[in-house]
Amino acid sequence: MDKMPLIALIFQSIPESILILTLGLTLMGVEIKWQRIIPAAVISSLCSYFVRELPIPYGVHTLIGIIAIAVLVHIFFKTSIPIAICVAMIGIVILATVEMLLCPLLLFLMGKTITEIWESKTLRILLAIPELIVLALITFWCIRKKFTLRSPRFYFSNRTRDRESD
Amino acid sequence: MSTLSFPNYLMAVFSLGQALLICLFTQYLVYFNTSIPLGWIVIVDMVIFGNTVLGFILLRKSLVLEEQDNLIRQQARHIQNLEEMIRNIRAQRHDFISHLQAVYGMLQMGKLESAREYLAEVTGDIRILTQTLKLKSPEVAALVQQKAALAAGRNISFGLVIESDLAKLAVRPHNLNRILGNLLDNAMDAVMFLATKDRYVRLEIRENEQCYILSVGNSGPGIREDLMEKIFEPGFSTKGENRGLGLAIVREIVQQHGGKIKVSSPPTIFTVTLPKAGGE
Repeated sequence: MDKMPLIALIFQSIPESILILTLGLTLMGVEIKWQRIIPAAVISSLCSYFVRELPIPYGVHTLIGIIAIAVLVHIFFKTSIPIAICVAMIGIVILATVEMLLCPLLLFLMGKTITEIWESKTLRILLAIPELIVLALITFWCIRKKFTLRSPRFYFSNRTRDRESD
Repeated sequence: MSTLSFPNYLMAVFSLGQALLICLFTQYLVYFNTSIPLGWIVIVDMVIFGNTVLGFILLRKSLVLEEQDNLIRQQARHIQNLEEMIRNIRAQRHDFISHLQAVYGMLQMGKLESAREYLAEVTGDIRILTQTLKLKSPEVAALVQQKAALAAGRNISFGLVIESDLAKLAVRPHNLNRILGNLLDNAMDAVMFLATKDRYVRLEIRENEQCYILSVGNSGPGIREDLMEKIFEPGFSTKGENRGLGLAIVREIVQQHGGKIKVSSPPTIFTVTLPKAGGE
């Protein structure tokens, strides 16, 4: 079973949770507040850490993670439940996709198996760095360009068209 | 913020969940040293990527549909407001002749004082209509008229000062109506338990060089110092359970548009400052 070392919690899991939350919230058009994202990310990472200690099959921790993130988003950002689930799903799915795209490539380049990497604390964190960078770049781009799945004009419009024609 | 309708939301979550499950399953196989040829992993990657993109497109479409639905509902409300305003104007015009006849009758009978009081009451109604017509937005004018009529129905004196047409306001009329509607409803609720002669609600709309200033005051009891911030928190209310969203919504809309809201008491006055479009 996959157990997370404490160092991976600090250097991998917490930044990963911050990015998941930030990206999910940005894409769902929810206002980003760092003073809420950081505690929510820390709690989510701690949940993930303790869940991995439990004797449950691989993959179930991700599903529990989605529920945990959705509940945290609902509590910290006071969004509706469907929006909170979408935020969690978006963040986790993008992370999983980036991981799936990068991981085989990195394993192929390093010539190691995932078990060998997970056994070494250093390699485990190093393997996570490229995906964190890609995730951070996507998040940064979305924030910078104000890219959201919702129409920004719907919420942050300036003047109505009929008034412009006056 | 609107909530997604259930089928749309479910469809998007299923699509994203599908991609996630394929990811997890593939990782599971890799984790247990199952030797999967690189070619297969590339194909799986493409399927996952495709599913993720599809999921996002579905989610985006669902959200756009939801937004359009909201927009249609807002437009319907605006049309209803406009119809109400037109009805009010028609009613005023219809009543005008009757008022003139009544005043003429009183003057004929030499009842000058009664005629003066009657005219003061009639011009009060007309003054509100005339003041609201200064506003560029018919939706906002209709709301103010509606609230003035509501106040009259609840025996509340309604003071109205409009010194701006709100032409450069960077807030959509429906959002401004949410701000004013909530503040005026709260003000009216706050004075309802007072004697009829003491009930007073006042709305002022002014502007300076940078911003518009909307003030809603009432003659109700003051707000305690320690509650001045709390009243803007969602769920906080002095009116009972399942209340307390109005001021939280007002603050959210005001902040979204770069404005500020403050409250002073007594007398209780909520002052909303909203920047002009094109300003700092």
